[in-house]
Amino acid sequence: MPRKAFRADRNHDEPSSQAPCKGALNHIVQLAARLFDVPLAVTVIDDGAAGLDIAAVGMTTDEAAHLLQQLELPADQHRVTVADDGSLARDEKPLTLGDEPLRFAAVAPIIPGTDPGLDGVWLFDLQHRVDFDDQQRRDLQSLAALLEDEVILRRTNDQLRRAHRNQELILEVMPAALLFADPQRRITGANQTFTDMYGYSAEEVRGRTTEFLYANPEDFARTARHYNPDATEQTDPYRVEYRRKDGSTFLGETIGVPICDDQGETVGYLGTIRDVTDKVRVEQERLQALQQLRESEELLRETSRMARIGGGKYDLRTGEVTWSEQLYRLHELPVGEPLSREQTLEFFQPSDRQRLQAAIDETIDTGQPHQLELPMTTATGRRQWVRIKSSPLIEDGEVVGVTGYHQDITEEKQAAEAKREFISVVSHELRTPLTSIQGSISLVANEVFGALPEEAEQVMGIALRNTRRLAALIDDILDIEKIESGKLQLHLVSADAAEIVDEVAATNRQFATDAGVRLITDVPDEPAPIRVDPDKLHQVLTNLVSNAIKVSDQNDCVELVVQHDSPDMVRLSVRDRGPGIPRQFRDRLFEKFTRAAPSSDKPGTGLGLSIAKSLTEQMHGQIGFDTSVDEGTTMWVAFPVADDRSDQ
Amino acid sequence: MSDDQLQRILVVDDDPDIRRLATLALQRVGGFDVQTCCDGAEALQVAPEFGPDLIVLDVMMPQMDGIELFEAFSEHPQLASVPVIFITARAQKPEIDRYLALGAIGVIKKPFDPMTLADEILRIWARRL
Repeated sequence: MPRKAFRADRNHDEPSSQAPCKGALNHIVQLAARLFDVPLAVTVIDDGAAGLDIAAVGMTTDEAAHLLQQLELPADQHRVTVADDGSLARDEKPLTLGDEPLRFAAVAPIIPGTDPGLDGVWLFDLQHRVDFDDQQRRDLQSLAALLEDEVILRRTNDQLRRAHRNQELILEVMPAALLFADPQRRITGANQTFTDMYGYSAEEVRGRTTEFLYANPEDFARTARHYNPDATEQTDPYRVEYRRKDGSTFLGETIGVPICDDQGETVGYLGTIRDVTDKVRVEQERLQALQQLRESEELLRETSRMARIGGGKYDLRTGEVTWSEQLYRLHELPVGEPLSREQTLEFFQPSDRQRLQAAIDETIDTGQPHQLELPMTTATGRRQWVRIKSSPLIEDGEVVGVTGYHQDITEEKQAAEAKREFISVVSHELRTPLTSIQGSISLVANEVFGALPEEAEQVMGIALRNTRRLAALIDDILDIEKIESGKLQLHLVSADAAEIVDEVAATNRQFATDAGVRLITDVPDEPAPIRVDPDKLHQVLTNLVSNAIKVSDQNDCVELVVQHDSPDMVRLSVRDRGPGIPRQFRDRLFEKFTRAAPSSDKPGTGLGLSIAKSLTEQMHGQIGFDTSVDEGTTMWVAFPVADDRSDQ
Repeated sequence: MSDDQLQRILVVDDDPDIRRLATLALQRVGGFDVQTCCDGAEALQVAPEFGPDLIVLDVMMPQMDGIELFEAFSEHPQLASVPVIFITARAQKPEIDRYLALGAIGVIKKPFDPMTLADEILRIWARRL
């Protein structure tokens, strides 16, 4: 095992002033030489990382170091060992100092010596010393004890220094600025964070009272109560605006802690300052956001109350049903009453429960939202209509539940019902006077009461056409009202498209002939079964055919064609050679009261195509057109091929 | 069907203008023997005496409406077998189906054309069996 390097830079012959402990080794070694009357003595201790510390009498420390290299501590390290021979030397060689042989050696090792160490007090002589008695051994041991005290002192000092260094390090890296001050609040020290925060170096501020650090000088006096030894608020944090060296200011949060001496007297203060500008801003923003949230919650609550709309959630993972306040109110239930999914369905009639359950299940299974309008009975027995919309609750791409809203639409339903009733009554009531007008005109126009002058015949014709148009308009309004109210009942069956087209052609042939237009059909040989309500499809095609006839010139032909669009779709087309649909009408051809032809020319109600579209779509079909100016228009409807099982 | 010749038609309608038009349409244009009544009570009084081959009945009438009158005819010994055609402004499909289900032989929609009313009635008459 290599020995520790001997430190050559220390010279204990000239006691150092700055480290009294170094002198201790010297004192002990000189005391030893005098006490035991030996010419040569050495004290050595292991000084940790600094190496061996040696003091010597009668030789230089280098010589002592050299001598020590020849030595070895005896097996019993705790005893004073005296040797008149070379038994303390390594390998039992004779001990020498320079060229001189040493005839006497004694050592009192010290207890906290290092292993294998030489720590202790060593005595040497060039002569034999046979008179080294027990008292001298005890004295030597006492000297070693003094040396031990020195070692302990040094270690304690080391520990203190380390602790102090650590403390300094901690203070430097603390995110808070630290300011040490005397009882008069004069700065005695500051850490690096202080410099970073205020822009002053520790040297610049040392000795100044802290007044200059406050943005408002009166704050220095105002905060004095925190720096009064008798005050109870001493360690309460306070916020105050500080000024940096560059003049800018910031909001700091400060805690002042008194520093006391052993007697409990305040000898100064330690102030910690944190820049809380960001923290305060975040706090304010949080408060503001919270306030906004509260307001928007209040608004939501208020508007949902006005709209009579409530929200709910069903969590598949927990089976829990959560309702908004308003949803409980709509059900006339106490707010917050726990509910199972089954209980939420009990407000509906059994058949509607199934529909609702099925819609929710489908939302869960497929993620498709659903909307239903259903009658329900509240907890207190009041009947109302509600609109229920369900949407999937999705987390990480998985449906984990259903959310939805539930709106009381009773008033809406009543208003819609009243409107429909009004339209229906008005339309029917119009028919009675219209019957009289149209009937009278018809009789006169048809010269039942005698021949009319030519001009009278013309105007009677105009009157007759327009009463007919009025009658048609009433029919269409009633149709639309029925479709839009959802009261239209369709009887979907499997029917042959070709057969329906033939019937439509037959029904409209007279009208075509009167207009000088040829009506021709082109249907496949095999039946083309489609799933439709034949009467309604007849109505749709009649409308398309009559439009086609109206836009055709004399001797033109209108074609009715049935063909397979694809193996699954059958298309029924009505093709004319008319002027085509002007570009500006194409986008809104199916809207109500859109007329491509001037209304005075070949009058229609403006509702026909809108009705045709609604009817077609309710039969799960599609409607469309291809048109080209001066080449004509093909209006078409397409329906899925009926599969054999779906008949009836 | 010579023994089934349509000759006498009773028209019941509360609107005097419609009654006048119906008379012109059926009598002048159609050549039938026409009698009109303004309500159910008058009809029940006049009809047995007139002995119509067909009754044309308005649906919406004050006091006794067309349906009630139809039922009253059905229970009348002399009138129970007389065919009835409803003539009405309410002639959408469900309503037509309802009238036919009651036992009417046909439904004519208002407004009707007086020039073709007689033909239409004859068509219904002809296919009533």
